[in-house]
Amino acid sequence: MPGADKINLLIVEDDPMIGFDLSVELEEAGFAIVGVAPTVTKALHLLQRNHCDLAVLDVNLGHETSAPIARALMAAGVPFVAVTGYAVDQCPEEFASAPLLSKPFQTSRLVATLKRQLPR
Amino acid sequence: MHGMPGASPAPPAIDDTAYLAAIVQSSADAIFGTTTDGFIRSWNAGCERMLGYSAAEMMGQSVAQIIPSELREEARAIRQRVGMGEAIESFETVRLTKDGRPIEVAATFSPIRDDHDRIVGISGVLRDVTQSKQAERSAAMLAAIVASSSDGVVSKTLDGTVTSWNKSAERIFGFTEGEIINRSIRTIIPAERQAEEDRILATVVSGAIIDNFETVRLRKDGALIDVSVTVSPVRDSAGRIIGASKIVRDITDKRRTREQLRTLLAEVNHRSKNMLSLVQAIARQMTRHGRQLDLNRFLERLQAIASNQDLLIQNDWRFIPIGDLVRSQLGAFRDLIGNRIAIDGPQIELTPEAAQAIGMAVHELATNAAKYGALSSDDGRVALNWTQDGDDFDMSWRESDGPPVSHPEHKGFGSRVISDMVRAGLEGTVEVEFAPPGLRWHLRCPLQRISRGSSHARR
Repeated sequence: MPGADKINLLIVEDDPMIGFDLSVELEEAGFAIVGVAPTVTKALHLLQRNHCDLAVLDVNLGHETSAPIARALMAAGVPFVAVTGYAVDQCPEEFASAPLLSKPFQTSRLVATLKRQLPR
Repeated sequence: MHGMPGASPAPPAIDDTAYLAAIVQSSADAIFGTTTDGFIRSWNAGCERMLGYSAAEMMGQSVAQIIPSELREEARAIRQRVGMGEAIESFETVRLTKDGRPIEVAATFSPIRDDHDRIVGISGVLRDVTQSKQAERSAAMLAAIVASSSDGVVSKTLDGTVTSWNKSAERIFGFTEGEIINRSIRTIIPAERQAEEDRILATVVSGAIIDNFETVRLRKDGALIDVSVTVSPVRDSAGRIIGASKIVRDITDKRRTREQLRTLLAEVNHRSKNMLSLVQAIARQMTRHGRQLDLNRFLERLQAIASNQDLLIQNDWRFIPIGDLVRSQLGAFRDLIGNRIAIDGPQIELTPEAAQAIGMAVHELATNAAKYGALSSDDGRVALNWTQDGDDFDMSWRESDGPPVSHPEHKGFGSRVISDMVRAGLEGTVEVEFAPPGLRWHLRCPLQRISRGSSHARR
């Protein structure tokens, strides 16, 4: 559950098993998981109702991309890390300035990349 | 003679007959004379060159020797007409050489008259037209090839005026031959590509060929089409470049296929990396808290995911019918379906993500039942049901008549998959009950989380 002392993290991932794995791993790494959103609608809904410090975005969500979520995060000043199986140049422009991890990756790399996005 | 006596000395007497004979003898054409009934009376050097027989061989022989058997009747008729005083000019026929080779000739036959205007023979002049006939035939063949080519074949002058335009060019561009001939080739070049024509003409003038240049051209109806163009200079007999020939191929389909392939490859790249992430997630979750990886269980889970993929591919990667999914995941117990395993529910097209979550859950439930539950004994039963309840999807797995049920000591990977993973992935509620008659698993989630409904119904 999101806590005041922890970093509140939103996970956007459409694959149920990968999303589940990420939430378990990142919770263990000390983040408070705001939720795992498999769709743009769900992610925007979670963002409206929760305080969020950071996000992990799977670029491709089956029949949509997470570009609208990236725009909402940028507007709110919430940093995020993109993860994708696509090549960098195939990602929507919303991800141009965000750190991008290519799937598959080790949790430790994701955690380190996430932490670098936080203001010191 | 009207020369005055005492004027310049008379020229040496000319034997007219010998003079004429010399002309005939030295002529490039084959010239011969026959009697009115077809026996050779003269045979010049041209005859020998063309037909291979010497004059000595042919003198007194029938002319029939050089006529193919199927044309002898025709020759006889001609001889008769010429014998009556008619001259026949440039008649195209065939004659045979000494070695039996047919040659195409243009023949002229004329009556030979004596001083009393009586017809005493027939003269024949043969000209070998084999080469010009061949050239004519190959020209006709080339014209037919151009006309029937599936590529557009067009020619233009050096200032870009269209001079020929075949049927395929008409099909590709929509302009008929009549509409485009004498107009500029720039008619089919989009405004922003007009400079291309300057470069093309400059290349042609330099004598070079433009090979399969891929560009865009304009149809009569204003549509743009992708084409591949090959342009070659056309030279006159003196070798001067007088124009250009263009071969145009419509590559719209090719380009579309190439783009589809590129998209497909990007998709394969994405999906295969996602699949590796999935394998990684399973391995990671199976080995949490320092547990040893159970390789057999790991491989079984990979097989379960692989069979999901087969079903997905069968449906163009759009959905998996839920009935096919559960039957596939219960494949190891195929013989029990219909008796100890009862499956019932409406057909629903699951999204690939929902199919993965439900498929993995069913796989874990079945594996657990085979190890500890209803499928581990000879009498146990399983009922797998699902329904569509308003906007919700409801699914249950109920075991009965199996061995006594005990609550597991710790929550392993399987338990987490059937509860936490499904709950989070499908935004639903999951209840797992270790009831005395057998394990019960119940999932309820929004229908729209698992199916895109009618818009993705089977086409």
